[in-house]
Amino acid sequence: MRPIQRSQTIFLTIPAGAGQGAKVYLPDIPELRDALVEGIETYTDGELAADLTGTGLVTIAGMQGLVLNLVQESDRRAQDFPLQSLLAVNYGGIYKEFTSWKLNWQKCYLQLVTNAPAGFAVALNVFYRYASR
Amino acid sequence: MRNRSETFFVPITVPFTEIYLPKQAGLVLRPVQQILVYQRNNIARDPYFLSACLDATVLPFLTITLRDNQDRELMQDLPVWCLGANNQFAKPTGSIMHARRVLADMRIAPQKSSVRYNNAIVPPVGQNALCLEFVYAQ
Repeated sequence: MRPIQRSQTIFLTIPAGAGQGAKVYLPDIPELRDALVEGIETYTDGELAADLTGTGLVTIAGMQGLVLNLVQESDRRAQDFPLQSLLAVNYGGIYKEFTSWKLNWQKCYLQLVTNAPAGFAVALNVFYRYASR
Repeated sequence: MRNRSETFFVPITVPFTEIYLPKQAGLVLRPVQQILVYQRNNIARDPYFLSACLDATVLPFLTITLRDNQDRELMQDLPVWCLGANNQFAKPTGSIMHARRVLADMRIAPQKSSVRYNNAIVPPVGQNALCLEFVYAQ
């Protein structure tokens, strides 16, 4: 794994009652607008209990119901990527390395493949660097 | 390969939401290559104040944000669990490996860096020292 220069954890909320097929778009994070993304990892409630507002994090079972789509400009760099494959605890803490993607965060989204009767939070830890700094 | 390290203990008194790291001479002077968190089954107590170190059940409720002297966030809201020295997992082949994160020689300002506690649960009484080891590149 490449040495980590910077990281930012993004928290998303999957609302209670979200149905199969629902998309939850990622927020705009100012620090990540010019970021070159080198890796992303995620966690269940066993590693991080809740997001910063206290909303409980996704369980292992819930993680199996999510796919991730990452978009650069209009190019979908990761299509329907099983979010569980980014789970740090499953891979000895190793994170999957990307070839420095400059993502359009507001076009990136999580999609549910199963219903989510109860709401929960998802944490995505983004490892990144800046080209010019 | 290790060159030098410092281990220090962040006092945690409940309730708290955010606590800043103590100023450590090594942190101010040296770039950081690795950060490890030790739990109670690694070290039972803070050797100076004899506070009991946190056990594994508390770590999921902590996140850490590291900033430099210009207030830039180098690592924001990182789950403290990620830094656990005990994190060892079985590979598909059956062998055990330790997760070790290497940092790109971060210059951290400890007095601007903080640990946040999600107080959805209160740790058992008496657990109030977070043990952090900083490994330096120089």
